[in-house]
Amino acid sequence: MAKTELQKYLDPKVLNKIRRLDLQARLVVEGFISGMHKSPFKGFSVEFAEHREYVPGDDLKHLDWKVLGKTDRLYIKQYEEETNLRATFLVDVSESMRYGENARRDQMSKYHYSACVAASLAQLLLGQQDSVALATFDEDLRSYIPHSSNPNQIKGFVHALDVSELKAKTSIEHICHNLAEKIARRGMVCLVSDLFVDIDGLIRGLQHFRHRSHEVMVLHVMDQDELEFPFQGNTMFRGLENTGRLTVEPRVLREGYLEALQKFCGEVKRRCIAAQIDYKLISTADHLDAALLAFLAARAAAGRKTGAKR
Amino acid sequence: MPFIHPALFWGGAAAASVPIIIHLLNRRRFKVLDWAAMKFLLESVRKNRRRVRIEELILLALRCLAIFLLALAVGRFIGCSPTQVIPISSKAQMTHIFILDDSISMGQKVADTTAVAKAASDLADMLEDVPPTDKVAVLLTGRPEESEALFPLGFLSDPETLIGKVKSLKPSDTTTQLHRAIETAVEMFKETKTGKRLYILSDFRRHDYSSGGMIEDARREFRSLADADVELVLMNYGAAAAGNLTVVDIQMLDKLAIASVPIKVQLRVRNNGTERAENVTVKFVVRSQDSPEVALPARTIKSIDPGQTESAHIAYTFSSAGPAVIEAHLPADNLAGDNTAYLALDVRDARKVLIVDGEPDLSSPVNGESFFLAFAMDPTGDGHYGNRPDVISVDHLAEVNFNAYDVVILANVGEFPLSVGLDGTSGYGQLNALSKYVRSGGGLAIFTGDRVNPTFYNGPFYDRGKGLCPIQIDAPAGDARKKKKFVRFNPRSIANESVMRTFQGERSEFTRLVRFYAYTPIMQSGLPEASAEVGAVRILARFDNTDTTSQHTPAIVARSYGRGEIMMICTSADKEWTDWPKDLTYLSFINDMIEHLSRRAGREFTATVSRQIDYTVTAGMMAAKATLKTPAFPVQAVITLEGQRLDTRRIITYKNPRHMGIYQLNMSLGDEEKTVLFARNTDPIEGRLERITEKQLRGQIPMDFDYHNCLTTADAESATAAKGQEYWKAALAVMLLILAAEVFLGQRFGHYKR
Repeated sequence: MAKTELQKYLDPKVLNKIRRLDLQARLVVEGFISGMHKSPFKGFSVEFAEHREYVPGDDLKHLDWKVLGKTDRLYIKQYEEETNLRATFLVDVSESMRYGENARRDQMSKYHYSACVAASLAQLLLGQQDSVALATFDEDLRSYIPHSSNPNQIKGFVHALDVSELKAKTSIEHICHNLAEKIARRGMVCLVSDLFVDIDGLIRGLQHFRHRSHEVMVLHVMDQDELEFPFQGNTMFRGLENTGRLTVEPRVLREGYLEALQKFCGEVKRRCIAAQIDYKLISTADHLDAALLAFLAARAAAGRKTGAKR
Repeated sequence: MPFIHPALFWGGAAAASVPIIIHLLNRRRFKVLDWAAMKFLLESVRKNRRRVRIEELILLALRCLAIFLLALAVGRFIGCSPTQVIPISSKAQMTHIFILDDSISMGQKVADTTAVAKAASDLADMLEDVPPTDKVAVLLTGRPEESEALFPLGFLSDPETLIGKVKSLKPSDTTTQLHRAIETAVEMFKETKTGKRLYILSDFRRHDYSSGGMIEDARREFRSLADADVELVLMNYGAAAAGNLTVVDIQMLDKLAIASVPIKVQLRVRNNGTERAENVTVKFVVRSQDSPEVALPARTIKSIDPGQTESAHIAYTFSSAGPAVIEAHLPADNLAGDNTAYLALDVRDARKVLIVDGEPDLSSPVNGESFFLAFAMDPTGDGHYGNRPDVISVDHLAEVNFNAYDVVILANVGEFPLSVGLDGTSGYGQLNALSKYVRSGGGLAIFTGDRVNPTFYNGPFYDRGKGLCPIQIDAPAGDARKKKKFVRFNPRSIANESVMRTFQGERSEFTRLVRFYAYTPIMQSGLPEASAEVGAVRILARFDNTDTTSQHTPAIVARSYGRGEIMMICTSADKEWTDWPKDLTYLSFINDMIEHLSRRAGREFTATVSRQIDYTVTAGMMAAKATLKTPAFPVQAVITLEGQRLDTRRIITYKNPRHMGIYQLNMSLGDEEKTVLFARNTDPIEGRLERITEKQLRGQIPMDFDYHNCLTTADAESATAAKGQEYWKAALAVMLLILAAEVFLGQRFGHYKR
């Protein structure tokens, strides 16, 4: 597939037209990787573990030239660190994530976008022989797919995301505590959520992961409407997750709303940085590579840290 | 109601609620949106709820105000009601005295109404606001006495009746007599000790408040008000001087109105406006016994500059004697009260002339001294030429009543008979009577002749320059018997007075036609000096007698004497000394002379409003019943007047004629009836509509006062253009400003898309 054609699947508007999540994830990853040639992110360790077949987008310097000379086939030398990556995706399936699903526009709902991001990352990681796990939650843990690096893992992964029902409130803290106890080996934890929770609870939960030496990254998914509040005319806002209803003239409140939102995001970001947690605010209107790049940047940073320790 | 279209205003004011209704309806109409980020929204609402509500209220108020202003504009708001002038809060009992100026100038048009109507309407509004515990009085400047007050001081038990009376007020025909009204008010305030307030509703014209105006009399009254701790409130209803023409006066130019002789009438018109008046049409109407109403062809005054006076003239001939009226009407303008003038006339059959013949000839009247005089005045002997001469001899001089005549002519009268007075001393009783007659306005002509006694003439008749004889005379000159030598009038000596018009003109040949064989020369001692009562002697003509004297001898002299006039012709009135009586110039000169000397009659019939009517009843009608019909008839009933009876006279007086127009005095005694007409015209000073500023007013009135300008600016600036120039432009301008502010604030508050 031509590079540009693949890259277009990074656009959520385009991706929205594809119904199957697994296909979406694959297209995203392929589109992403085809644009990675100049990527500064290596993500490769020094300790050789095994070979794997070259896929387009892999750095050529990792090619095993000897194997190429002998067998005329392209293999990449894989290193121990990479194979050891255990990524756990925490995807928020609360009711608030539904926002955007009925909107008359060609954008994805927050949940759809989050699922797509999670599936794409899983696809990417599985493609690199890493192991991924998935936990969906609202106020409780709704499903958990344990770690596996089997390429078929993606099917269960996608299925779990597909069947989730978005109807309950969000509660992150105790989920984090539960999972932190559950995940034995250290790895990477990626929380994909709109974070409509108490900041203190959120940070406490995430710090539990940090305590367990996990790399933690937060992908804060917000709808473009939520970021810009572009409404006009008298509107009754019916709160998802039973947050009440409010009839107002939105233009009048826009300034105050944006201020409150920025304050919240700023606070979350500040606290995350303080807790050495990677934080990335993503709009559902952004191309998906933003999320993937953020993830890889976090990975690279983690790699550099472990490299530095060694 | 300060609106020209109140219904439109109320409709518009009701529409001011539309924004509120829209606001409420909008709150019921909304989109529904499922929203996740309620947390931030709620926080924003919590923080901004007060601000948002205030902003919404501000915008709502602006929108309502904009519509309200539109209502003001379409309702044609013409000024605020001054009802707030009445203090509301005071609990103590108060006394309110209102003085409403109902002078002529208050009849000025203001928009669709008059100043007085507007003031009356405001006064009615104020009366409604007066608490029933307060005392009230309403005075009019036209009727300043307490007994004539519209409402004498008392409690307002029946306000509706008073308000009805106030609202039906019309401007009177009188001048502003504010000082007298204030005097009455000061008296009223003396009875009261509670809070005293005096309200003056007037147009405050400059002429009343400049030196010599009404204010001179009113200052003392204002000081009394200040001493009595009266709160003074001035409410100004004066609009600016717009186009206004005023009748200054109407008068007859002739001295007497005589039937079958054309009389000349002059009407003077002043332009009290600010712009030149062009082609002013003046209508004249004549009412007399001949015909009830004759409209004369209108006269046009070509142009009158502002502040200038021009006149229009008419001539009219009455066919029979009797009372008559000439009315003049100016075209309608901003002030209706000063556009009409009435001239009351007593048209007489003929001018009555008394000729005292000093040399009567009973056998042949032609030879009598007076024949040519009488013939010149009344050739046909029936008075058809406007003169009716009575000839008496000197013997009958003692019996005559000079006052019955318009002119007295002494023709060759030697001297006056001596008579015995009441005190027993002898004296010239009739000379004194004649002197009194001339002083009171009568005319006297003296012809000399051979009978003239120089001792009498230079003695009591001359009376050292203060007597009736204007000059001292010498013995007669010339020889009348031989009739060989003669003198003429010196053509260059003819004075430039209308009485001498027959001989005027350098090229006139008429002076060459008259021969004087004898004449009475003036004594060399010179002419008497003029005094306050007796004018200087004017030489109207001189004889051409330089061959005998170095100076031409005066031939005709004249002098004013009191209100009357004396002429002396230094030759005989018959053809004994001169052939003048046979010359045509004699006819015209004699007629000019008696017109010149005639006592003015009928001036007392025409005067300004509020000048009292006096009439002296003639002897035959002493017991007659006298009734007076005023111009207000039939609203005002016929008044029966008794008058004051003196020994030989009865004077009928009507004290206060306050209406403009004709007053008809009827006297009846048995079958005999007599009618006399009097005319009363408005004071032309009221036509001067220059306003006084508040500052000038404060300089003139020696006390503190509240001042309210009760006309809108547009009214005050231009009464003519007042239509459509009230507050609507201002209201529209403010409305646009408010709409602009609404849009600006709406954007700023985030209610509109930027």
